[in-house]
Amino acid sequence: MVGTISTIAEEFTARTKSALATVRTKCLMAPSMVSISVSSATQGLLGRATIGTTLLVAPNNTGPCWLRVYSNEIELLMAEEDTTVELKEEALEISTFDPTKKKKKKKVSIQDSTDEPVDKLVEKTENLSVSDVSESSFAGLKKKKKKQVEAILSNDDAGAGEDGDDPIGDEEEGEGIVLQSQLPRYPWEGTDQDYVYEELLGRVFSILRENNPELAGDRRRTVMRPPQVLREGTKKTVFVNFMDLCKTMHRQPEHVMTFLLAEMGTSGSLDGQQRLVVKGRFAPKNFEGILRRYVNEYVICNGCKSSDTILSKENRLFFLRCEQCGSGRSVAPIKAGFRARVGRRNAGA
Amino acid sequence: MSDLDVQIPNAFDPFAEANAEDSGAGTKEYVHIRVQQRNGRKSLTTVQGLKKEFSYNKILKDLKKDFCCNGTVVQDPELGQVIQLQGDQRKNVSTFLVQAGIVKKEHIKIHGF
Repeated sequence: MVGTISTIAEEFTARTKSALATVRTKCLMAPSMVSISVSSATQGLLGRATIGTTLLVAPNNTGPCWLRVYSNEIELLMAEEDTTVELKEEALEISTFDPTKKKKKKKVSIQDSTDEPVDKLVEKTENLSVSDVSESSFAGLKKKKKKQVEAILSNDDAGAGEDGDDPIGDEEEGEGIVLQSQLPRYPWEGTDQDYVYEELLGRVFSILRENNPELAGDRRRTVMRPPQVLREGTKKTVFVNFMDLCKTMHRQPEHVMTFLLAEMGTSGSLDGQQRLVVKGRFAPKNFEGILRRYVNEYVICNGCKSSDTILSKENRLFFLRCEQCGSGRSVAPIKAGFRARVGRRNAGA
Repeated sequence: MSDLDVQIPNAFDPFAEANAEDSGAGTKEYVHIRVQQRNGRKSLTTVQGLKKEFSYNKILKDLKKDFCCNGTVVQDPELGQVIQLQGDQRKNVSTFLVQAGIVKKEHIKIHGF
């Protein structure tokens, strides 16, 4: 791990010295009371997060940086050089906890914990198995959790009191707890061998899936309802749920309409009930294919495949910005292209 | 408290975009193949954006012969010459253009439903 963390009373600042650094900082502030902002020397502010979330910061031209925020520790992974993480309290009071108790902490290697006496560990795992469960729902369980942590601390070094006169000891216990809480569930319990990368990766994902499945990176496919299409007369087609689909995609109906019309090579308009009336005969399948192409081109983020994006126009160019990962790209403007003359030609033309 | 979470960028190739842009190099180089509906179940295929150096009439002649359809070269004030073919020949045209080595496959954009 490379990087230093400095603690200034209520504020933390973690700064990476070189690329690919991992910074891990620990604090004993109550969960969800801090906001974290990440900024780098070259890019300025990269993103913000609150406790209990993962912040994926992907600046445009540098490697991505992940910020994982646990209930009481923050981790910055693979950051760009000179990235600053700043913690600020949002709530007014930190209640029972002394600000002096906050600690800075470098990452402790995993092997450390195996040296600890077994009976202590058992005790801890018992304690922590409860708090592990409580972690799954970050909200609403703050108080309970705090108490547990307190209890553990007083268990381990009796008489340490509130001020934390033995901060290093405290920290080590804390780290041990983190690690031990995982152990009873997994086959590599008690063994001394090193973890393989795949093993660790699988473990991380299984934990993540258990606790907050929405972060596990499973592709949540954006489901859209199939287009409902009616025939108006013989020569016109009505796209009934056009507005609904525009809303689910979060796109302007005009933009979607121009794309559809340009692709189909016809003309059309919105009628009184906000349905799209298109000249020509089209099957629902046709609309679906074109909408699929629209989504691929103008909705889906290239980086993370999420559909949570915003299309904005900046001096004549359309830009797509992802709300999930923060990446952006430019998209091609819609051009209608050549339209052949179909139908009767007047004598004058 | 779960342990650390390292999300490794999966199969995402950071250079894919750059390469794609390189080959795209402005939308002007695309050959657009569109289809248009006419009356009944008739349709019309238009091929727009072929390089100016090619003789449109010769290409058209081969297209017509291959697909057994009629066609014409239309002069458009903005887009230059455009090949029009009768019927929905999008697949045919794109395979023809690729096989004849007139355009690369990445540069063909097929529009329509």
